[in-house]
Amino acid sequence: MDAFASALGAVSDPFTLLAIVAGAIIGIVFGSVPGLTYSMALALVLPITFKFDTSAAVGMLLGTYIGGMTGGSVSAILLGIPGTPSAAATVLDGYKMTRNGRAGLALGGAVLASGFGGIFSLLVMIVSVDLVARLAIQFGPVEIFALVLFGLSTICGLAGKSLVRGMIAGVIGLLLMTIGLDDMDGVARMTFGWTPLLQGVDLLVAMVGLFAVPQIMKTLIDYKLDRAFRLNASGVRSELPTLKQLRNSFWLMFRCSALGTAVGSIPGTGGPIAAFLAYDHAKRFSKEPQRFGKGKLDGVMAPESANNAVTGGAMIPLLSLGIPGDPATAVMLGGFLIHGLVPGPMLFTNNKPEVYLIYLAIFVSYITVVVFQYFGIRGFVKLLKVPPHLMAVGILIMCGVGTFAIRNSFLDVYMMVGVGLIGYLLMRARIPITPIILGLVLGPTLEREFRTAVIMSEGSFGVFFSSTAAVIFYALTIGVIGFHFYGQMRDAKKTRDAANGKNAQQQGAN
Amino acid sequence: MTSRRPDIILSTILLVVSALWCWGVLATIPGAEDGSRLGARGFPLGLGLLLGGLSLIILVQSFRPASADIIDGDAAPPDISRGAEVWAIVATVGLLVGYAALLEYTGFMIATALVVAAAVGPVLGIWRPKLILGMSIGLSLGIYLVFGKLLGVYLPYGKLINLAF
Repeated sequence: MDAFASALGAVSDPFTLLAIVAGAIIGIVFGSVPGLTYSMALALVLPITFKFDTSAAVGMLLGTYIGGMTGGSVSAILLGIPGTPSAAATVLDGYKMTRNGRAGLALGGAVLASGFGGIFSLLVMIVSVDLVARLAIQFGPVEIFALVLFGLSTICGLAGKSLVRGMIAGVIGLLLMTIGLDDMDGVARMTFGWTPLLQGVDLLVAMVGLFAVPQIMKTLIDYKLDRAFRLNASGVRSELPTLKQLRNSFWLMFRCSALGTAVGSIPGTGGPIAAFLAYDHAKRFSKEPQRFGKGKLDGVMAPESANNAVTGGAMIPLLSLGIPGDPATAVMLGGFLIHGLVPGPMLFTNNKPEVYLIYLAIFVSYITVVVFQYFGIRGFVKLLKVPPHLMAVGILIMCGVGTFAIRNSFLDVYMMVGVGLIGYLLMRARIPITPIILGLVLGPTLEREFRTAVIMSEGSFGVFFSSTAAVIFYALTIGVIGFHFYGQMRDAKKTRDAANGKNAQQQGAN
Repeated sequence: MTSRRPDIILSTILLVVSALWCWGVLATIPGAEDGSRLGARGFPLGLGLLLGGLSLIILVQSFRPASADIIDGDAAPPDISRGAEVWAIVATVGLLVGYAALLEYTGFMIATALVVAAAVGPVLGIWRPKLILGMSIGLSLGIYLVFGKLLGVYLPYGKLINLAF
């Protein structure tokens, strides 16, 4: 109870509240503008939080995360372009509603469903995160190694369509994290005698580089090719659904929120999958499935409740096991670590007040997001009218200032540019970025636990199969890889069959 | 359209990186003296070899009939004009590197104003004096007030400014 009171005191501190509100607004802005991602927002916000105490820093990061997840619906509804991948399913009916002159209702419904999904998942998270942590507290180095391996394999497999490319990205992240001074043996690794490299590749520098720089490049390309989006809507106001509409949609939101929470708790899945599953579910169980895709409110509320429920779901493995489920939670994990919070089972023993603080901050963030998105929609409409290439100039400046602020190092700014350039080239080579970040974040744990297990077993690698939990995680890892490989082969067969069918048709026509 | 050529280039580059990485590990990181330990070398070496193995898979796939497009499951890379892409890369890298250099020598305010003006005018080609001035002054002053004053983030003064005063 003392811990809760302490957390309540921290979260009601005016500065912490201000940080949460500011984070939520930044998140909504980055989430709502196509081309700006909330992962990028988190990476840019993180250096700012250095000067904050833990509660304000955690609050700001969570506010940004939640605001970003919710903000994606604004452009999905008004422009037909999802601000975040999670809002892609919202476009299907949301944009149709705008074209039918019901943008206000679509926006209001999305806000309400977002808040519902988010708070629902928060409650599930509060109940389950402690249970998972209690189970995980018995884990030793072998089990943790196996768990991290499982987390990495899931994310590598699901980040892109190609498992091999996802794994290459994960390995690149892991390779980068080995550069610098080795903590266990105290020797320099891959520094080639260059002292500044001893401190290694800074996680934040890499994050800003990988998330922001390629995005600036893409925005400039769109500008050059004159294919940037344009908003024609004006004078839009949010309008809440009627009580009857809400009553009709309540169980749908409930089911979609449960679905989103479950999907979010599986690392590597995330918002887009949850939103499309929820949309499909809503359509399948609707009395009027034919109205989906033509501007039905349920088609907005289902994906929005599901994608926001992902936030609480994703927090379960993050807080209880230290496994981030997507790029945004990976950045947050980095942020928590920087502020002295080490997610994992011990967090619930060592940092009980901070755990409650996280719960409360998520709650306050959702309230803030709902209020701002409902009342501030006109502001966001104005914001969406700012040309993206001019926003890119501001982002570019923020990249420089934010990276410099991390360690007051000009070298970091140059490193960020280098990492960003590599990130863009890798992206063009269809290598996904997310696993690189996860490799960087999880790499030290993976190596530390692996080496500790080897030391404890006096060099015997048999120790890695001595635990049932570890063997289960290996089996799951193999299962995920096998499942992914099977899916790829099935898709390849379908594509081949389709191509053969087309050829046969052409030959028949000739 | 097949993705054979880009995949061959990608896998070859990654193979070279992997080989150089493994060489670097063996040449510069001492191995564990105690047999019961993996040492500082084991993990990076294993990862280097894994990168090489994965690159080989991409290389082999790119020579298979029907190409890697199908096996990979990914669509071909998006159709982007080469000229626009090179321009965007050069502009972004140039502006950021220029900004880093200017931050070091002229300090935050001058560097930000100059880089924003350069980005809007010469780079984006928007020659509207009010916009250029407004964005340059607005961004540098806004960030200075919010970051430097309100949040207490250290913003560089610049070597030249320090010398002058």
